[in-house]
Amino acid sequence: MSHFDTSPVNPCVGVSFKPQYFADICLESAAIDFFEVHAENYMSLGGLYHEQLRELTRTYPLSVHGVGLSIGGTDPINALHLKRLKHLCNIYHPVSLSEHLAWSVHDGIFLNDLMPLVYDESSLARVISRIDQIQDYLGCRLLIENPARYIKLTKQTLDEPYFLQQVAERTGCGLLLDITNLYVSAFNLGFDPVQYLTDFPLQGVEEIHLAGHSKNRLADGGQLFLDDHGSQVSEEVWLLFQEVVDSIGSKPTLIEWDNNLPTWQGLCLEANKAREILEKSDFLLVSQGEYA
Amino acid sequence: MNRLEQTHWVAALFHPEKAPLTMFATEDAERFVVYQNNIIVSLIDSLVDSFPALVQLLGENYFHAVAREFVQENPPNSPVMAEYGTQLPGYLEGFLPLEMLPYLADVARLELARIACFHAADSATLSAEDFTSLSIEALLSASFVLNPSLRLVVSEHPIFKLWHSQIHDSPIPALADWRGEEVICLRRKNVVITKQLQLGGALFLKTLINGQTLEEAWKAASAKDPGFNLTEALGSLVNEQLTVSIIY
Repeated sequence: MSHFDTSPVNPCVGVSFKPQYFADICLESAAIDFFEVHAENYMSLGGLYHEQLRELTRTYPLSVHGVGLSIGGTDPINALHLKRLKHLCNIYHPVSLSEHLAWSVHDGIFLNDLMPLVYDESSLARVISRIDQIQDYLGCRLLIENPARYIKLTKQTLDEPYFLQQVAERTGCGLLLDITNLYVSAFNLGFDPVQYLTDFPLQGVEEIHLAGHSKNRLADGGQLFLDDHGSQVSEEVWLLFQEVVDSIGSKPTLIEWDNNLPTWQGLCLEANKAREILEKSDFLLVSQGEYA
Repeated sequence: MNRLEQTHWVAALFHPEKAPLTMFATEDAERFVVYQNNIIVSLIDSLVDSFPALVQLLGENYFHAVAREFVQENPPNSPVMAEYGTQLPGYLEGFLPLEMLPYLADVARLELARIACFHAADSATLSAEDFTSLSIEALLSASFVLNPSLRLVVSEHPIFKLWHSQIHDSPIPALADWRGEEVICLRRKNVVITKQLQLGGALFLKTLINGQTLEEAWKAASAKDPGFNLTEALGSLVNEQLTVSIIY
């Protein structure tokens, strides 16, 4: 697998690719540094989607993001799925391959959503062993993403930053920090997102995700945030993004937009906001000062 | 979360009436409903995308209700959502409230064929020269590897007209015209083309799909369709880019 052409002082901004954007992307050379696709949408044998992706990857680096490996699951890892993922990587040579700290398969049933893990020593050992197995088979490193959480699970003995730090340290995988997921989880579970970032192994972050979320009213009068990837990134998430960038510099950053899609121009505007923050980050100023 | 807890969690996702879970506080039960809804709604949405004609024929609300039951009984077994829904035609055949509408299952089969066609492997197809370079005797005893995107759907109902009426807003077939139809789906320049065939043409292709020779396909087609014309059928094999290689 090749790598992102980036450094802490070079902005690298990508967007989720959708087939309906293809014509616009071909018309004008986009100020986009990479595209990300969902692995499971490109596991068919041929046709339009592959033709578009072949064309796209002639010009742009590709990041592949999966939901089907079920890193936290207890079924054996689906060998066919792993084989298809390897095939996809062999064809398109993505610069990044990521999955979620969650489970999505059980008893052979694919749940089409990411289920939360109880963070304890036994699930930590399981996740580490499964990531080892996957990385060995694929012959490349994974990035593991912090999930959006909606419910506080009892019996949890470890916190998420520690869990991810252990996973990264013991498997050699990288981390994908989804700042919207962090914000959504912090609200839903009632913790401080800034404290989470203090505890998080930020040095292991190799990609950042930003997305829109929705606010939903519960029958008991409470509120629940959902990472529905269906709107602009919220102001609160941009502020957290700024904090992260000030702390660790520029990282490849993706605007993730999967539902209620904007126009191509609208998506590019959102990507430009991320680029501006990366370009003006304190980290960049400090680094330039150091080099002066 | 160990395996047993995940088993309970999944059972509760698909069957909310089952025993409440102990993995979270009772007052948080409403938050668990979010997972139930996400899964059921996302799977129903995926079926809505895959079966547009069926959605129109049943009406959106009724389709949603049928899909909800289908999803609960037939959750996906692959993370590739383009492959989800292959059991829906069989499910519809066994769905008693719809037994008076037996054509629905075959319309669903046609929609599945279109999806399979859209995602099938790419392949270079044979040219006219590949055919004319062989003697007629050699051709007749040859069999063919067909275009991987080719799908044939045969029904006792007018599924092409039914499908077409819903997607292209044409009239629903009249009862007097209610007869079986044979349909092929084929991808050309990555666009799925859906066409009605004559009976002979369908039998011809079906025989070739089974790996039998051109002569056997010709005989099978002529036996049921006196109007079948081999020269025209060969022309279609070339012009419609239906063949990938000749085995002789």
